[in-house]
Amino acid sequence: MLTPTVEAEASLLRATQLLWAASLIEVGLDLPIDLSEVLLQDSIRILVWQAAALLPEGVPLDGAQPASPDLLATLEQVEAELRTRPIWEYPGGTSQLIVQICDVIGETRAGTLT
Amino acid sequence: MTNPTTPLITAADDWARSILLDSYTNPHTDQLVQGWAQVMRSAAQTWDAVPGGPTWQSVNVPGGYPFRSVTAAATQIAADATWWQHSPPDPRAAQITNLFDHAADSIQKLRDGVPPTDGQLQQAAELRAGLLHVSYVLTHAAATGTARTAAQLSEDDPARSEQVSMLNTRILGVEQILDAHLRRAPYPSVPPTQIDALDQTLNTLARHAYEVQSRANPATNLVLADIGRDLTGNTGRLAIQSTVQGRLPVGDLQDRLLPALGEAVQQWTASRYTWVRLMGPRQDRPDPQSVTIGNQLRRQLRAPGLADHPAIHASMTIALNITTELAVLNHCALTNPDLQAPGGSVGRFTQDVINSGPNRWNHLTNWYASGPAAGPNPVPLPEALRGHLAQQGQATLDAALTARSAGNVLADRSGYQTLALHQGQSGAKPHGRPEAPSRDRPGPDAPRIG
Repeated sequence: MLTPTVEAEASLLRATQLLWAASLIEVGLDLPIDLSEVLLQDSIRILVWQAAALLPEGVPLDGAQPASPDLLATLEQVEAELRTRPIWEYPGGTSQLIVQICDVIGETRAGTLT
Repeated sequence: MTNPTTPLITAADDWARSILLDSYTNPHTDQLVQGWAQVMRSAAQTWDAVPGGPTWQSVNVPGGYPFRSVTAAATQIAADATWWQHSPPDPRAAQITNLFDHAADSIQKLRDGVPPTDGQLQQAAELRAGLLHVSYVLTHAAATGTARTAAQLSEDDPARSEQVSMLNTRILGVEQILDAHLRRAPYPSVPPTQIDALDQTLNTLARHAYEVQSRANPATNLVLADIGRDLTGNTGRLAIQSTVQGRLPVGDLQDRLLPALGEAVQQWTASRYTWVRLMGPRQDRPDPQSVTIGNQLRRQLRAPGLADHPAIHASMTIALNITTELAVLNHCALTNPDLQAPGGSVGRFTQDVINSGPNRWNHLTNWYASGPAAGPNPVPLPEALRGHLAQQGQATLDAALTARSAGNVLADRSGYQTLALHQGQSGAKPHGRPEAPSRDRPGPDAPRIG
């Protein structure tokens, strides 16, 4: 397969760091009220590790500041970040990550997460 | 050398993502399926436009003929959807087809017989990688659309729902083929039914969690805590859906199950926060298999129509049981005497624990006497921090046990319904409950003797 480019790896790292930052945002835990937010963040937390697995060992996950404290907006920012390079420049497995991210965004927008 | 196909494939990727992003709301699944089949045919032609001589099929250029079987399947699937045959293809899919056709024209200028340059090989490799990716994204969108449509039709038109569901199963097969070509390692197969798949993954999770526990680093424990929370939250979501469908009494949900699940979610959150604090700035990676299972579960738990399955209460009960096992393992990991963490993390965490806890002065004196930890190297945990971790592990376990106990409301219903079916009872009351436990007939929570 193709070798990932430095620019695409930097983009993937930035996307991963944004996911990590979103995974640390405090959300309400009153289940009847906050369930959709809780489930969205759970999805993001799993996505963090799916993305991190595509990066070299030892890179820091801290360091990105989402443009908005809103979880969905951050996820959309991540998806947009992963459009900045052609797909073949990213490491193998990025297609699957993108599909998962789009799934979560689509479900959230459609209100079907809960 | 500039690759002339790059802007074409990038634009096709944008269209495919746009289709996927609205596949959860787009009412025109018919157009999506027609457009998808058309794109698969176009992808096959573009794939085959790359010269096929041995010098072209080199290490970097994805080889094989993935689109031959994909095209055959997609064409047949679209043809079998006879009720959608006259639908026009989704206009965005038509855009992708155009872009692929242009890319094929561009690559056809390259010919067999002349040894390719490195630039030409790169161009061929990028084109094929792009084709696989765009086709995979679009196939996933078609799978999502058909799954949603099948679920929507299930009440009004069960026969059509079954037909669309079959299309969905076949599209998932195509997705699996493309996924396998995108990955180097094989991808888990699509099991026969949603509920079987979910149960199978839950079982895999339990087995794997036991196996990985002895070598789990904080990052792996963090992932397991996230899975615990996701399972708990999704059980709540499925329980709400079940109540809406009249299969679970509102009282059981509101008074018993949701409060217990809510507390468990809070405790899993606190446990995962504990693991985050034990990780260093350059975190270890979690065990990849745990991440894969977490992802698989996430997808399976959100499968459209899952809440309607007659066996869903049993699966939710299994999920709550396995979450309890995860809580046991979480407790073991938090109280493991060999647990170590980077000195800097331990130092900051211990300071916070001491500041917020009782006997602050005693703990602080002992801690400073032993020399506060610092730096990136792993160090053992001081007593004050161990006590805090043990408390957190216990609180999460207690909450998971309470949630599992509250899950009896699910077992009660399915047990009662099964009994009613066996006894040939008809006209069971909505929200019918077994008779209240009595001295002669203990309920499921009553202690058994002997």
